[in-house]
Amino acid sequence: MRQTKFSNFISRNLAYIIFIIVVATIPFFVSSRFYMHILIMCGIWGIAAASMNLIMGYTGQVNLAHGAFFGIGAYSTGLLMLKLGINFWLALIMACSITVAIGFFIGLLAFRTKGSYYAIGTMCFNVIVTVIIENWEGLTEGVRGLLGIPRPTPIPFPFGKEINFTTMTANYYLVFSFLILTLLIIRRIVNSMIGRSFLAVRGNEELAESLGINTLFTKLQSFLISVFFAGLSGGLYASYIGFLSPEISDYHVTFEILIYCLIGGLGTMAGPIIGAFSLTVISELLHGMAFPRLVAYGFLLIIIVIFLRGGIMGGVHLLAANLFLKARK
Amino acid sequence: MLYTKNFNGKDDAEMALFIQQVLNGIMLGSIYSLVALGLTLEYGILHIPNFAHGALYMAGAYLTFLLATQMGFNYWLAMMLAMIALAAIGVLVERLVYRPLIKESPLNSFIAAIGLIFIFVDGALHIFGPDFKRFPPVHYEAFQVMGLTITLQRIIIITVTILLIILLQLFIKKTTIGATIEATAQDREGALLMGISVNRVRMIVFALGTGLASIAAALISPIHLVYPGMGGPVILKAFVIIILGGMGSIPGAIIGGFILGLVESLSGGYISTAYNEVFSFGVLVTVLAIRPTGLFGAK
Amino acid sequence: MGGGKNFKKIINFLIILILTSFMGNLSMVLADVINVGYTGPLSGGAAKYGRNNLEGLEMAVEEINAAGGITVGGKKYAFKVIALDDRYKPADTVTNARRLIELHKPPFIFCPHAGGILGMLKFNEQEKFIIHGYTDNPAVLQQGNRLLVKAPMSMGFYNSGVIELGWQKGWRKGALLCGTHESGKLAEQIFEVLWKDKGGQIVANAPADYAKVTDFYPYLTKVLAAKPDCIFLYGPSEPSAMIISQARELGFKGGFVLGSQCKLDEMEKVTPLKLISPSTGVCPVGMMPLPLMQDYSKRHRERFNTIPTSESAFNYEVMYIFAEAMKKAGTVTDVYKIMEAVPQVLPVGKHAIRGIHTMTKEGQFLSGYFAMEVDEGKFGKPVDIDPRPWYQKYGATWTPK
Repeated sequence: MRQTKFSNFISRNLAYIIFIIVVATIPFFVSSRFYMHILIMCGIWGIAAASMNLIMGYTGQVNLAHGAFFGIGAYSTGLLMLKLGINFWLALIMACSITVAIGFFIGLLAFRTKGSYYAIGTMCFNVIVTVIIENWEGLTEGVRGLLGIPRPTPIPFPFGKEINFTTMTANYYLVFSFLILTLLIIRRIVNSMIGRSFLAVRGNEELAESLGINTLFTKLQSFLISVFFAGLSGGLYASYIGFLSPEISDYHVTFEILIYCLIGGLGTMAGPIIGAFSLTVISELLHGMAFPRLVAYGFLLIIIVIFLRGGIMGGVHLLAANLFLKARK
Repeated sequence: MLYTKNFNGKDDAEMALFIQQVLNGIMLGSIYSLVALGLTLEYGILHIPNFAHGALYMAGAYLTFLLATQMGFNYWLAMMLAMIALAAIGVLVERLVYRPLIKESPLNSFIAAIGLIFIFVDGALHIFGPDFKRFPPVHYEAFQVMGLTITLQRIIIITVTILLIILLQLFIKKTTIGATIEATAQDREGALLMGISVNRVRMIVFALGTGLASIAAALISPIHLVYPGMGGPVILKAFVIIILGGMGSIPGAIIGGFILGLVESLSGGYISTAYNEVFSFGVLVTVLAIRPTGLFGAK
Repeated sequence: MGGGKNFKKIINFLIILILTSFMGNLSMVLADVINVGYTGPLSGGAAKYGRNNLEGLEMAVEEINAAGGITVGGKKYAFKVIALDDRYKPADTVTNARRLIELHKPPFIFCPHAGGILGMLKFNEQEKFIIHGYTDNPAVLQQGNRLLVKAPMSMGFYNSGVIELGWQKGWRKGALLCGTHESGKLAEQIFEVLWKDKGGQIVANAPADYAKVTDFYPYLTKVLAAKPDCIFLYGPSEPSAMIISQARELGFKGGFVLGSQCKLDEMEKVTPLKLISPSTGVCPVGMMPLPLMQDYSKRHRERFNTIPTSESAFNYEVMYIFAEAMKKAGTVTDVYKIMEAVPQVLPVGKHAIRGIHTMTKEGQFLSGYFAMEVDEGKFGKPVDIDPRPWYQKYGATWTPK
């Protein structure tokens, strides 16, 4: 059978095409605003998780400052919109740039260290950022929080109409458009030469260095891209929820995103999304239980981590491999 | 009042204030050192930081509290019993949670530790309730010495810490078990070849580390309060300390602990109490920028 | 490796988990049950605060049901509390609220933190539910929302009472040692502005995170060096009591001005009254010279084995207000009509334990308030302070500049 370029394209990108179709059609089946809200939050955390996956899963650096960049993106967006009256779209781009700029300095400092030192060093940066947000009241309103952040500015359409973002559906499409964009960009990067250098650094940093790869530059690249998308997810959060307080940059947020990545499957494209989605859903379901919710959640984490090496996606791959083997017999 | 009748003018008052802050810092540092010691010992063997250390610290406080109040044990006895119980729990945690994950990426152990934290903290919340518990007043006699105030409990904390540090050093350097711990920490393969049971060493180190955390918690609780979230800020500081001092280094943990205690106390006293944490982390970041493996860490 | 087998085990476990949890959710809205929603911190640092709020609500609902529920339009209704934990995070509050709307359709949702309240204010008029926002943050009243009530009065008002008593004791040089949480920062500002307005001095400021700090000596040492007459405290009761006992250890002989979060009866359990003296603070709810409150106090202790606080008392009373408003409005679904009826049913007879007697146009409830002094190891007589003059002067949305 001759393989046309088209059928080639379809088979290589099947998962993404299906994903886009599902995402696009969900609002036609789901009318409940509760479920839409959950999906939107999954989408926002999905972007955050996917970006963490880039630096951790693909480049092998245990970066624990992610929550800080989420927070910087969120606060930048919120402040630009509230205090300078800038519209959402411009504010978002500026916020991501600010996040990357700050990320550059933190990255340079942090990458002087390695291994566990790097991990805890970045976690400390996270705490520093949270403390600064809490205490620089003149800028951020501190623990009182930033309130009244407007929803994304309506996009004008020809013929006097506009797309506005007061409905759940509109916000859903906004968030998921960004999510799909993020995934496509990250996938492109991962499959490119730059992505190869990431994997090389993950595999064995010294070996990569000896092969002529500038590991500092590579790590920094991965870090900055990852931080950019973290800021993006923060900006989306700020506008959707409309209210910010310093806790959203806390290191506990970093841990949550990390859990999504790991449970979903680190180093896979689908992993972070699956992790964000399933754990949000599981956490919601646990509300109905009589048993202390977080205790159950804790046990769940430990069990999954011990028995499901490689997260859910790891399990899926194993299952697929088993089935494949059985089919061949 | 705060100063004795002997003070002469402003300079003496400033001096007394300074020494008071330094004393505060040493006391804080003692607690931090004990917790960091346990953590650094565990790191030396596990090669990953035990994030659940703070939760175990909290469990030690609650257990001591329970024994001292509900069961009416004497404070010291309660502390000993709680320490033994926590050591056992530490061994269990190592065996059931960390050991299956030895060969995996350190991130897995990290997530497992987070799971443990949820279990312990939320469990404590549901068993004991969310309010702050106060220890029955113990060793609250205050002394006025040369214009300074110090309570008996604070003296006890500093003394016990110094004692434990000396005992630990003797244990590591002078006993066979201590030698095996050191050997395993330095080179696991070599230790295995020498016939050392690495599993036994892990068990002992965890019992030791968790026990130390329990004692630290029991020491500080009469001064502060017992509540489910008390492990969080402490574990964060413990991490700062072992990074500062160098992971796996015992002198690093001790010196790092005291440095942190002093920085907190003095910066809070003289600059600003609100930015307290930033100073501690600022010190850390500065040290790491100069020596990326900490003051005493192996290069 | 057996990864596949383990994987199947996990799936089975998850399926059981999902099924059993749905059992809990099968409480579909029956014709004669009205659901009342609650979303607040039930775990984490603010868990106690969240539980106190919930206790009042639960007790009211239990009592109303035991007395036969309410009758509206010829039909009998019982209430049911659906409580969800939001860990103090506004995003979780919004999720919880949407869940409540989706599954339980409550006409009322109670929430004890400003972040969560503000989050819900964005859609409560759309989704038609009335919020009882338990917070002292006036920002919630500034959103122009028509379906919001707020029982705790302005912190400015509460603190002005205790400051006045302190001033009358002759204290002039004050030092601030308040918590760094949201209300702590607000309290710090209010203390400073009001104290200076009277002509007092602020000689030192050492904010402390009451929950995280292991030892208050460094803060106290700094504050005491400035030789204040009194120290302003604001934070949870037990750490406040610790600060006092440590201050006494350090030789401080002056007084304490205790903000509204410090509950003297809870503090007494940690530090003896002799050490707390001399100080001024808010009269504990259980000691208010209101017979209805005394009675409630007893019932609350028997039911929950905890000290009743403003948090529980106010939510108890507001629940009764809502129930009466439903009866008066003659509807259990039209929330705008119910809201209109609210001011008309005040005070709610023998359930007006805090004595809510008026509602301002923004939805702020005004009630009784007592300040009190603690001297020589004994509680003083509660001093009755009417909120109306303060509210006429400053308004419900006053914040210190």
